[in-house]
Amino acid sequence: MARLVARDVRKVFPPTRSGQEPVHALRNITFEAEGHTFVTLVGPSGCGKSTFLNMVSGIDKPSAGSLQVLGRTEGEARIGYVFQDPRLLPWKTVLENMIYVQDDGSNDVKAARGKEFLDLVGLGTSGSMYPGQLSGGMQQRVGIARALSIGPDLLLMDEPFSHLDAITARDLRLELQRLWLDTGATVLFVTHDVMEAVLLSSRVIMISSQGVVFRDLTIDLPFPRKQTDKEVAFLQADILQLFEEMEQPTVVA
Amino acid sequence: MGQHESEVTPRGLPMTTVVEDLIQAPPRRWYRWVVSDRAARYTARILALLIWQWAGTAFDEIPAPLGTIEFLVDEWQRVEILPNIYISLVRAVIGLTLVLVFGIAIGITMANWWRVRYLLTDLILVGITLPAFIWALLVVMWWGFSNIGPIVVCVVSATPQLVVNTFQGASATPGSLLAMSGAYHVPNDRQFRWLVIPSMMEYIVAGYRSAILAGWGAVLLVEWFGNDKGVGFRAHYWYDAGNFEGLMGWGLIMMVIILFFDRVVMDRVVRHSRRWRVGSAGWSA
Repeated sequence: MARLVARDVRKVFPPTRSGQEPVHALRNITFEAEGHTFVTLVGPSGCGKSTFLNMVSGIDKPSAGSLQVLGRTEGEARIGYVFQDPRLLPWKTVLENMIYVQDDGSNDVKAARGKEFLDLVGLGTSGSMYPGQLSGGMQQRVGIARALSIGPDLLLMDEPFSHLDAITARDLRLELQRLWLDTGATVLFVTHDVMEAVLLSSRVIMISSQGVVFRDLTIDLPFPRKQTDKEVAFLQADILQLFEEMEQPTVVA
Repeated sequence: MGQHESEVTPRGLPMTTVVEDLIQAPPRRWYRWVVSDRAARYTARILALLIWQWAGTAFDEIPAPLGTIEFLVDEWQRVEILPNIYISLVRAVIGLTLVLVFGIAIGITMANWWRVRYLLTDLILVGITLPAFIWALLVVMWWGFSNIGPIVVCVVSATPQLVVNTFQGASATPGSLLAMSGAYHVPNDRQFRWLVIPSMMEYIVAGYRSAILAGWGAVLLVEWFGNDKGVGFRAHYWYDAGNFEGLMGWGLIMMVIILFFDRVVMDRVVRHSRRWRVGSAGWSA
């Protein structure tokens, strides 16, 4: 479990040619998250959700503000990242992809750990296959297993089901819910799908198109949840209503 | 396939007839061989032999296959074939090993540091376009009849071929996979071995294939112009003696060596580097 503290985080992308204006991807993101919690950032496309995730992972740096991610022993947190596309090494087998990101132990220990998490996502027999031999959904499951195999304090997920068909995405959402309940990690999830946010999260943070936190909502529905639950549908409608309010011209950074 | 005879298609044909027509008998074994790529290669070689035989018969200046084989038998009995092939191969192997190291290192460096790229671009272009015989004449003047000349010319002629490809390969390393590696804090040496080099492998193999052809030719050229050992030297020796069977015989040896290496070694390397591409495991380049 991790502790994530974001204080007035901003991100500005400088212009790439003369005459261009800088791009303010994020203007003010402030929130904290810790423990066994599933936090979803939801907002319209281009509001800076993925940018924020990249800053949390260390791929990118904030232009201003402070962003701290602490691990279970207050040191640097182990972060697992599930991207929109699986990002597997296509020339390595599935099991080798699991070994690639691990640090602890010999290759045998890493392989055993990789196999354990492949079993967890139902791909225990696919270790010797290449990613090209798997379907999109299976590749994404490998991506999830890979992220979990490092024993992450914080699990980042950037719209991991957006490229999948509806049925596969539904199955993977339920699987993710089960894995989160089993492993107890802190999850920071990004999506533009409000239903997905309500289904999976214990907390939903709405980001406006100006890159600021609009609402920070606690979702206290019991787990496990299903897409067909009435309460999920009602909450989805409420949040969509809030989005309409958010897009009113009076909402400023 | 379990359909009743009474069922018909919209065009009134009995369903069983239509289904049976769709299930064709597999092609016979001899037919499969005749239309295979191996048969195409053998056909090309036999055709080349037949054309050579015709040319040898039609023109006095062109030695015929039989005369060439007889010459090679004599050369074998003179114990000239294996020792000279060995010398040329050692020079080529040393040179091409250096080409592989330099070619990959320079290509990756150029892709990652723009100053190095602009520093070396013109030199690489000159290296590719400058004819190898100019280098051959220079090294003979500098180093005489030694092993250094063939190795040096092999390196300077073949390295630019590989650099051009490895530069492209290093520039094309998928940024998304590098970002993933960064997010997981994968150590740099593992990223290099598991990500950078494999992502470049097809470029390296394609570039190295061209480099081998250029490098082998360069070694033979230097041996021709200024050496007292090797396949190139023996070819020149018989040319000077006006023995065209000798020239053709050693030319045949040059071709057989390079074809053997390309088919037996490089084809396997290409197939191995492509094994992860599902459905294309049987390709050869």
